[in-house]
Amino acid sequence: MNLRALAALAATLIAWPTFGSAGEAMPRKTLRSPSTAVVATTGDEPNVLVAVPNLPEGELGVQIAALFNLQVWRTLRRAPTPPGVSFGSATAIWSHPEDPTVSTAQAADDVAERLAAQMVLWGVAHRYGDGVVVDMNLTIADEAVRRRRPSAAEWSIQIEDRRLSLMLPEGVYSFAPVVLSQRSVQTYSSPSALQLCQARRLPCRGPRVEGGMEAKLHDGPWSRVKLKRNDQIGWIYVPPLENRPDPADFTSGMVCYYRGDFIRAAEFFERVAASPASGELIRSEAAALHVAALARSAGDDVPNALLRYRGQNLESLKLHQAAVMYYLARWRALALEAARPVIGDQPPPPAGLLSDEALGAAAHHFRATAAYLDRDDPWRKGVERIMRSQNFAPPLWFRLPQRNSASSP
Amino acid sequence: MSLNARLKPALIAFGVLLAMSIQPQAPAQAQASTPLSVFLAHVRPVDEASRSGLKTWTDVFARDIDIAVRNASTTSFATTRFELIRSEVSQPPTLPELRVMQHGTRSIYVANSLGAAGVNGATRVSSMVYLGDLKGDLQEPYIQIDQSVRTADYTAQKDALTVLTLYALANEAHRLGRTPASCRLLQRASTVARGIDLQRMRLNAVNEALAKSGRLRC
Repeated sequence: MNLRALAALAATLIAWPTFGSAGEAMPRKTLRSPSTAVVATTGDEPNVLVAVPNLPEGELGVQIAALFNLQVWRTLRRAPTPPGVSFGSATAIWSHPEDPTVSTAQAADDVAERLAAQMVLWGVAHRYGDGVVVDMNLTIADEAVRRRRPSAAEWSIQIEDRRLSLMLPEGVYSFAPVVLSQRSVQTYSSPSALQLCQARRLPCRGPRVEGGMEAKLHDGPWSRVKLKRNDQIGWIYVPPLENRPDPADFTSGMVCYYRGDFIRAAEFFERVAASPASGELIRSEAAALHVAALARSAGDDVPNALLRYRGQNLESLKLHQAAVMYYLARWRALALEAARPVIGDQPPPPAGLLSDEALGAAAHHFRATAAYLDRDDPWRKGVERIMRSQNFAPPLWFRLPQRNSASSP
Repeated sequence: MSLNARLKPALIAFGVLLAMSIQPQAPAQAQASTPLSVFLAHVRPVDEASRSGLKTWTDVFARDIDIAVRNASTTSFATTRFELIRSEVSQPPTLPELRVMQHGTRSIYVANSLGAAGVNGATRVSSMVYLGDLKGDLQEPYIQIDQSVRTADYTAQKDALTVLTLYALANEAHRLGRTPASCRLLQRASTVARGIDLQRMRLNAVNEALAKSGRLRC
């Protein structure tokens, strides 16, 4: 295995990929590479920073970190259509091979704090037969870090003078063990994956990628990059895995969510929620985040998704909270539509009835959260205030504890 | 070996760990702020290779329990401290010994030891879990999980430990009058439990306790 080549690549990946080939022509800000791998970028700060420190198993740990970092990095895109909307920038970094490894939740918290990284993807790996078993976790940084690096992670809706906010990603997400073939692990450490090619053709004899790189375009297994050390532009080959591991998909979804790329986030979370191998806990977390991302992307598929997750027994407190946020925002939009002055002979839109239905759906999902939120929970109080202000007082059944089973709020 | 001979080192170790971990508390705050401890022990195998392997798996369990506790402490129990304390013991404590050790404390004790080789020579880890006063609606405070760790059962073993940890934490939240926090933890435990075949693992009692606690509290 070419560890030196991997270490060079591992210095830092500045993730600023484009969206499709058209993105290449878009104006672009310059991000400076960190002088060392685990030091955050100086100058222009990225909006989203995800750290992928080395796993503790020596050379294998470095390889696994490289694999997951590249998997996440390659999913980032630069701007949505229509143009004019910016996701800001994102940086995926991991440690230099000689840096301390991270194998505990506390150490991950420390990395997040030190780098002001919103998330840290960390774990451990074990050789098993002809493969490698990897236990990965995603730590979401606490509020202190969120204040230092504002992002789209917090979901707020405004209803008249009342603001309701929900922070869905929180804590540590533990993924079901992933089995990677030795071939996948080895492939990511081969020189061809780490060399700058002039054309999309292998083998190539370009220079090694050292000192970090900025992605300009992802196209299939190839990424067009600019080297940080000398601005040289070329292609690198990142071979696809047989199966994308769920931790990479979930982390990619989370990065997209933090960037405000909700359409892309919804795709990743939906994929994880549909994957039985993810484990029930991660599936239910992904389902809630899928609904949140759908709702925030102004998608109209939220009711279907809610129905589907109900059928799959993936309902949770967070999913119901996301549903309440969606229906309140929908109700507000419909109410505003209904209040629009009628022009000419046009009949008024039938939004009044739909508006009431949306409010009723919000109340239904709010009711499902009753047993799980303290009475002084800020989000719960916020919803109650909004409903009360619309003469939709929390009904008696909300105030009384529900006798539900623990698994189906 | 007599009970006293076995009990003595275990009690000494337990005492030392308690002394290291539990800080003196003001009487008025004692009930709410006494840390809830998770003791994770592994029973020292005879040979070095097995010892290393067992420690590796116990590391995995420790990480899972730590994450379960960490998520609970950040989202559910702002006023309760949790501790994960690891140790190596020469023999697993017996049930009477555990009762003595945990008397008057709120803690979970997990002892992992190597079991007899399973199918195809797969390594088996036996986890003895003692929930003591945190047993909630379980009939017995003692659960035995015995699974291969070299197959897909590895996930079931660690998830089962996570379920029991979350259930114990839910019971602690309930004891403190934090019913919504207890319900959140029960929901989390039930979700993890759905992914494992508790019936095949002879852990039906855990499913029943989760359902019953959910019905009564949430």
